Amino acid sequence: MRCFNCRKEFDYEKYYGICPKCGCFNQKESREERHEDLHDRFGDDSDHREDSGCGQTYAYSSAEEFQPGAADSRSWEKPRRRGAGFLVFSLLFLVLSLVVLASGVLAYIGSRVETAEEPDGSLRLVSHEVGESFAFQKAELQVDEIRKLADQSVLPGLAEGMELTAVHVTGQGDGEYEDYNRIQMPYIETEAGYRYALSPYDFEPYGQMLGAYPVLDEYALMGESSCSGWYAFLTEADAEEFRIWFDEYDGSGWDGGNLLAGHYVELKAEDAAPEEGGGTDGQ
Amino acid sequence: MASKGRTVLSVIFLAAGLVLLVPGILFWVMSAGSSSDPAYKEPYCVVELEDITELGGSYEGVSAEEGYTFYEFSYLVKNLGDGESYQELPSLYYEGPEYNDVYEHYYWDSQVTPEEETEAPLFDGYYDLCIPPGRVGRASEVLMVKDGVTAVQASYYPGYSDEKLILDIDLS
Repeated sequence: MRCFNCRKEFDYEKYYGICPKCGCFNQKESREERHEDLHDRFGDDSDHREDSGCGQTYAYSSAEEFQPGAADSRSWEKPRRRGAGFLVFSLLFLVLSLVVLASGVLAYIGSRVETAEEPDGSLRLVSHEVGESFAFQKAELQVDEIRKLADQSVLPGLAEGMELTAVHVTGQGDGEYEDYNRIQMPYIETEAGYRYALSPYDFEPYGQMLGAYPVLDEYALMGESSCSGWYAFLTEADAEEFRIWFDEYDGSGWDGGNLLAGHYVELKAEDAAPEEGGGTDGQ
Repeated sequence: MASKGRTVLSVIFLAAGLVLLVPGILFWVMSAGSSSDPAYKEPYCVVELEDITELGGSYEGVSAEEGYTFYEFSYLVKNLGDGESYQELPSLYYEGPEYNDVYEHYYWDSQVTPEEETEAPLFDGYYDLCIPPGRVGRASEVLMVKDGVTAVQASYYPGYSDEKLILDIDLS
């Protein structure tokens, strides 16, 4: 046999049709020869219509309608609906695209509306008096007093002109532990501006030493029915008027959720001398 | 013929689908880009000029360059966001008509002899002023402005997004 690719003569039987020179597979028989071979192997009783060539798919003409159950010795082959799968796929793709477009437009409009709602800073501000109990996030809070705890003469490590100030707060809660119902650490406002409360962890040893103990943290009323303690701040040494701010949240998220109101209490400094001891012997 | 018709129809559907899909994806991308993550609170500080004070040719022992004057710009800073602002004033970038019309404190800080390094104070980090959400703070900055300049612009980012605001300051 001669390889159709490289024209090399080779023994078909020996090499099973694979050319030893170029590796191409060569078929021995032509299409007709293979057809004849099939007839030889399976007999000659297959249905060959006169109007349709042997080995070709039969298709009914429009005049010759298929009659189910009609006498027809041949097995009926269902005509293939060419392109139907592609059509279904295209339709599904079109529908999917429409869904993507519609949802995208809606999402975009939603985001634009959200962006257009510019913050207007209209926070509800609620004023309270010293000693007044006020409702705050499923609890009651009360600001009792403010104390100037220490200046640089007591705590030389403080920055010049600054002072350690503490505010005493009591609270009543329902005793329930709700994950997001924390009391966010308060701010103090002086003429200079706002400052965040000191971390209870940082302040606690000094609070014990200076008589401002226990120290309150964000979890003071989580799972507790009451609390009483101090929040500490750094303020200017010459500040005499203060506002302590408690931000009330709706508890809808891990960070407190939505800010509902800012509660503030105006305070005037009561120059209390730092209390002796109150802590451990070491302090 | 029917097969050809189906193919043509399929191609039309496919093309229409592609035409719709592309803007759909674009809308999704734009909506994702324009909406901020609601899981995080963020400040949105809007700065308003409250007052300008002319300080003259020297400020805290530093002399202004020839042809320049020190000014103190006082601002109201409104935090309209839902998160606390850890700065009492957003970083303002000043520009005049010419590049050398305005100098910020970085310019003359280098002229001041650096102080000896001191130990960080007790409760370091709690001295800085902040602006809680929904409240208004006050802040000021000293600038060295070229004589004869009548207007400068201050640009700043009010929040964490790319949104930039410009404040026009009239010195005349």
